[in-house]
Amino acid sequence: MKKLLMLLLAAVLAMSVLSACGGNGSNEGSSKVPAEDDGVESQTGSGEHKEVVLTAWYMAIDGIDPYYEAWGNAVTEKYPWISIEFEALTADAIAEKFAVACATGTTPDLYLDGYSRIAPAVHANLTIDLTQVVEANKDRFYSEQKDGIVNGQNRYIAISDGAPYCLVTNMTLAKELGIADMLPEDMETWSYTDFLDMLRAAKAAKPDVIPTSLYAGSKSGDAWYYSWFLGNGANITNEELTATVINDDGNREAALEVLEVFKTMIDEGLVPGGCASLVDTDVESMFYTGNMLFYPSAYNKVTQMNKLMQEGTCAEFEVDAVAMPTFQGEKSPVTVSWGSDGVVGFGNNGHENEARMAIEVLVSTPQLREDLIRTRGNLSVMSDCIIEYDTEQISSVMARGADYGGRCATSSFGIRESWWSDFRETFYVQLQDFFVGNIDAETMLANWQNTGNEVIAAALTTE
Amino acid sequence: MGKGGLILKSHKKKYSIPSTIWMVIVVCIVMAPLFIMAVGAFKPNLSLIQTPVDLVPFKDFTLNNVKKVLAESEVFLWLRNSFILSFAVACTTVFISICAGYSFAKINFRGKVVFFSIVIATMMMPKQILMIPNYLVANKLHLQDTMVGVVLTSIAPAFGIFLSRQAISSLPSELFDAAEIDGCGEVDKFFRVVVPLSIPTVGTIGILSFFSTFNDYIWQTIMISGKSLRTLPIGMSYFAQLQNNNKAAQLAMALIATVPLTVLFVLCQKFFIKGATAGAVKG
Amino acid sequence: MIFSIFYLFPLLYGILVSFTDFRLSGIDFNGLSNYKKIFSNYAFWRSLAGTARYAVIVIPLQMAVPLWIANTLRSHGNKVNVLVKLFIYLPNVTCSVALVIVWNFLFWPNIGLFSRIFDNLGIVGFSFFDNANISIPVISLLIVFSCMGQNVVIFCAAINSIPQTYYEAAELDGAVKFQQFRYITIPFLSSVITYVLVTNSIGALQIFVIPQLMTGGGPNYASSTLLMLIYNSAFGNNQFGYASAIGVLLFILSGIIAVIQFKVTKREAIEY
Repeated sequence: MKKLLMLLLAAVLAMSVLSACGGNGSNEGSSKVPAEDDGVESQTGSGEHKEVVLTAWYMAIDGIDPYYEAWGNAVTEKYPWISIEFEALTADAIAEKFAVACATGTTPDLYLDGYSRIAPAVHANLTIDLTQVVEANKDRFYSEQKDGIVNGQNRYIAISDGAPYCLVTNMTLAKELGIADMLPEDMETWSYTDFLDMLRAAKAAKPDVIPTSLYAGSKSGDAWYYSWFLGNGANITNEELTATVINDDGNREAALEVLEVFKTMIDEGLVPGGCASLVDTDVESMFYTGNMLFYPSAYNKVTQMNKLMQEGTCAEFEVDAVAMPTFQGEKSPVTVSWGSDGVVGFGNNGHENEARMAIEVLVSTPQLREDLIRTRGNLSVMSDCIIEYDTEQISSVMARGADYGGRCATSSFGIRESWWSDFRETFYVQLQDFFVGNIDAETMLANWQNTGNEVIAAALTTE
Repeated sequence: MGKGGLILKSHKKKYSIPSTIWMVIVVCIVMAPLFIMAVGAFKPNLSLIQTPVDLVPFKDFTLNNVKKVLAESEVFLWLRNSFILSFAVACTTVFISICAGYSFAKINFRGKVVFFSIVIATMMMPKQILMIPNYLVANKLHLQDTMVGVVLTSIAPAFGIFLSRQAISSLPSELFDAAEIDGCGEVDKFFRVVVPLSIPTVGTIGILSFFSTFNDYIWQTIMISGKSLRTLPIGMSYFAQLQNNNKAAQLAMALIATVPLTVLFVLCQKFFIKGATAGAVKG
Repeated sequence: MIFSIFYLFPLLYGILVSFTDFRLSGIDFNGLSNYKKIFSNYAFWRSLAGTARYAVIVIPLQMAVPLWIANTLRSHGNKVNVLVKLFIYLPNVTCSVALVIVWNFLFWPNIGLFSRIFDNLGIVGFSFFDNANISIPVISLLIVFSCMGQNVVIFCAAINSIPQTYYEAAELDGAVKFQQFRYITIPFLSSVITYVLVTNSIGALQIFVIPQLMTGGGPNYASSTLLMLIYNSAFGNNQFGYASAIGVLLFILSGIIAVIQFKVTKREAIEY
């Protein structure tokens, strides 16, 4: 019995080592059979090239499928022996599916998603080197690619950027309540007092109205909070990204001012109860009823709502966006903009070159990207795209968002590091405790700093 | 002994009224989601997200949601795939369960306790931990993206083996002794005595494994890529994601998916569980 | 053989992984350090306590209510039987979307039904899910109501296979309903009850979906369960080794509880 167990363990070990190698992207010994067999029926005249069917996974969004198909067609047109098979994934299973694929070396050839989910794979060197693609298209990018650079190699190409974080505003409601003039004229510069006064005025004008909401039930949407801290001058991490500094002198005061605003909102009933367990999508649904003034989100929500209104799934109202306030109403408050969407390639099916060619087609053809970016509601990171939004009003809001983001947005406080996913967890659990009143603001900052430092230290020692 | 039916009939009126009332209350609570699903599927989405929620049946009645589901999804393909998958898994599970359950319950063999413990142990490890190794196995055997692969990896007979062992072990031993005296071999005994007597158990295991496979969403998503093999839960989640903010359409989808399942459940109950009572009494 | 490929291998693999630092970048043996990390982590202890609190409410209710429903159904006709079982069982089959909508409809802050009632009573901004002392019982009830169909089906099937003659004899002897239940139904079902008890205990230790949807485990892991912690570690943070280690502990815990339950129910079974 014991011998048998030992044997089994040995076999298991061998297999796990094998799988780890497979996961490391060494594509020589690829004995695996990809989806190739399924797609061989068509396309004969490809000459000397062996036919290749690439697999690509992306996040499902209403109306986006045809634009991915268009990319696939463009690739086939240019390289007749390559075709792409797409697979739309859903938010509630994408984490498992992608993690299992990465861990077992069974990733698709192409993967398109936000950088937060891709970062661990990039940092683990699972994705293929795309430096030549970036080099060849250098002129198209506004600025250097910030994401996915490992040892000087581009292993991820961003094609669109999440818009800056802000307060999405129901302008119709604001006008109806007669408080629209309390918004800052430039939609950017206002103080905490202005902000709180406006919430109070909304509540006073109509008790049924939900002025705004806080949420800490899940990690998603946490960047909205970072915008508050950074906008008010409280740095979260040091410049070298080796430690948390939110509780250091010089940052603590500013951070406490932010937390004081949240506390005031909760204590005065300016936000719904249950802030610690609500998640951002709950708040989104409340906003869609047309009965909520400010929705904590980003500029890209503005573009996504028009379609919902036309379908009648969302109340109809005019949407605008205003920047987060700061303590004294400083000009050009810092905001967070990250959540860039992009593409990576994997080589474990032995289609490294074909994947690179397909990505090259996407990067060098602005028309293909424009539709994808517009449907996502994001902003382009490349200068060759002209994105036309549904209405003029939306276009003007998005132009303002792009301008604001260009001037004030940051993403260099650690949010692109591989340890970020661990780190943000240390933040939001403390935020939950703070929201329900288990701990005061000082304790929250101290706890966050301590646990955050542990995460960073652990990550730096293993690397 | 054709008495079974008679007894049931004469017996019918003797239920106690208070516990029946309580039962109706519980059923009402449990049914609330079904009710909301049925009402909401025929309402415009705004009625569902406004305050207070409007759940008056037939007010603002609309067929748009149902039309949307039929037009924008492949719900029938998904249903078909799910049915094939769940049916195959249910049949296999029932077969394995009854055989193994019988041997664990009535046959003595070496290492019985150890084997039985291992069977139970497979239920105790959380699925999330097993996803990676399970997928490794499937991948090494080239089973990913095939129906056979999903079926093979979805079979989880532990609960069925356990349940049938418990059920069979509560059958009176005299029956088996009698069969033995009549000259039945092990195989004969199994098919002539065990199987007929275990029909309700067979039905239960079949139903439970059918529906739990039906719902095993995450694993199916991991195993299946490609539109042609998509099962109902994957499809529903896909549809729900596209209709992210349209709760009414999601409810309509759920309703359409529920109808065939309801029919199936009623049929199973009729054929396997209630219909079997008479047989069990006869035995 | 097939059994060992599909079940034993993954199981052993999972246990093995718990001794490694398994991330996407590769796999390294690190001995017991995952376990050390677990025991020094307050999130683990809170999740363990949370799991226990859910289990203490869920297990007894999930045993008692279905057993009682099945017993009540015994004296009803076929049609009532099928209908009741259908209505109790179907909610956990298809309409998780509907479930979430219903719960939001009931529990949402500001908009939800309960919150409106509380508002009218003068308790503004009340939330069910920000305080684990309230959220755990509420969520446990939701779990019981949405998952008990399975047990009803199992108990009904078992009760239906009790020979009717036993009850007739008891009735002739003048036994009242409760006595019939206590002295015929319970003993006859004892092995099935053991089954339900063991499997439901294993299930209760793996509570995940509903708390994840309703509270996400907050505030600060107060309503978290072990499986939620495993999920977050494995698929949120890509720490498969750490997640597997928690999984192994959960596995051992389930094992111990199951052994105790087997022992206890066996002793009971001898009593009559």
